[in-house]
Amino acid sequence: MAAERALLSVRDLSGPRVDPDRLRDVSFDLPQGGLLHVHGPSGSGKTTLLRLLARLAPSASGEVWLDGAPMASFPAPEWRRRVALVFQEPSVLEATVRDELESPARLHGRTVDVEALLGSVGLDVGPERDPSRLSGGERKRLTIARSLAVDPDVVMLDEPTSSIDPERREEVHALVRRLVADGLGVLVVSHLVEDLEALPGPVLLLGAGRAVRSTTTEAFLAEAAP
Amino acid sequence: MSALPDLADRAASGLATLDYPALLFTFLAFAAMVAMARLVGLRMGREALIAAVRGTIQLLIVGLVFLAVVEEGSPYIIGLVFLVMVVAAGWTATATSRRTGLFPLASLVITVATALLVVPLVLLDLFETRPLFLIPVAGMVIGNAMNATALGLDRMERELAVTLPQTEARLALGYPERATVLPALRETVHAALLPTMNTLRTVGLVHLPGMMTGMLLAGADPLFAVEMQLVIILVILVAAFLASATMALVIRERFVRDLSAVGLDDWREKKE
Repeated sequence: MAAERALLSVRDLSGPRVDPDRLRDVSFDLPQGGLLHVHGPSGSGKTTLLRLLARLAPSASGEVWLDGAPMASFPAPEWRRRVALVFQEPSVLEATVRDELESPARLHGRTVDVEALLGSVGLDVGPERDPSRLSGGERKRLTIARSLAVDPDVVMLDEPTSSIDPERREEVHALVRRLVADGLGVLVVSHLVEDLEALPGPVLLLGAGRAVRSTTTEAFLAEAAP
Repeated sequence: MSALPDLADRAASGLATLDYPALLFTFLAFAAMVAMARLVGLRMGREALIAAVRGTIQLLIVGLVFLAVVEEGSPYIIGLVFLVMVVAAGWTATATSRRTGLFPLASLVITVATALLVVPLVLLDLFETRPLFLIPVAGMVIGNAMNATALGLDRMERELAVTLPQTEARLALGYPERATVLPALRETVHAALLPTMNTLRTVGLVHLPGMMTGMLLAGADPLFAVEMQLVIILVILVAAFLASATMALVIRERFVRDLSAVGLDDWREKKE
């Protein structure tokens, strides 16, 4: 299903610059319409990897390419729009749900269908609601929708289902499958086995800041089973 | 710069004209305050004594400086007085900041903010160029610019730390880097201007400011005293705006520089 051209290429990435041991020499390819799980214990460098890829911290060494062009050839804001990071902790930026989605889109000269975007993340709330009054899970899904509003090429989800009720997690899983089918590259960082089960694909295992090995959800789950 | 013999004479004979019983009364009132504070368990004797002695010494020095200025009228001495003022103001404004290299910058910001407003008023003949007049007027503006600088610095650092998750969320959505901290910048300037804004709102209602009181006590025309006070308050407000906004912009540039050079670890809220 996945086209073989690498959308996001990472080679020997180490960082951040102030503490290069937090993540050492990580390499992988994420194809267009591809999914990659990043898995590992806490402190293994998962979030550091996402922050380096989102250019929220400078790397110490290594190279990252998007669609064949090196990271440094993009202005940082343009890179961040195309390689969108959805944080584990959702943060509210605007006074209404509508503004949460329309403001970033407008910034990039786009218009969005608010209702459709909310529907795509399974969020059934009025566009005029105050986002700070939504539940944690609803806010989380709103921030996923907000990242999609800027039309990214790669979406990086940090613990996408952690604050979401178990019965609503399938909506997020379905969304990830749809994004992959639409040709986006999706990186999922999760400690939940449930996410690995629901979203089969390659897994990059991290331990103590290094890539331990690459495997697949199938093999990984089979090993983990008692 | 011409010396003013009548003022010099008065200053020289100043010690003889001091009202010693009145001074004694104020020191007794001060001692009574320390004693009363002790009654409610507030042991501020040592602290209050140090502050009082320090204030007395500083005021005595200022008195001597004025004596010299009035007697000599030398532009060098006046320049030295201004230099000491802005250096002390810059030092005080940046003393509690974690960031380095801000002290000379703060002194410069305070100097420019003060000069931008005081010099035109001198040129427009509203302020006299007599040092006895110019130094206290500039001192008021410098003092308020100092407070605004300190508030701008402290508040901007705190706002950036508290709103870092939102700032990073905006960054991740592709907002231009300087635009991501606009809310912190707005909040900072607003907070730094609040004390002066409150003074402007309540002036005449709650308190008669020192300069106006001084002019009235010296027998000046009340309307002229009002005019001068209004000018001073507005000048202080504008100087406070310039100083706090400039400091906030300086901090913003450091933030943006760190984002691409070393990352934002140093800007996170410190959990102590």
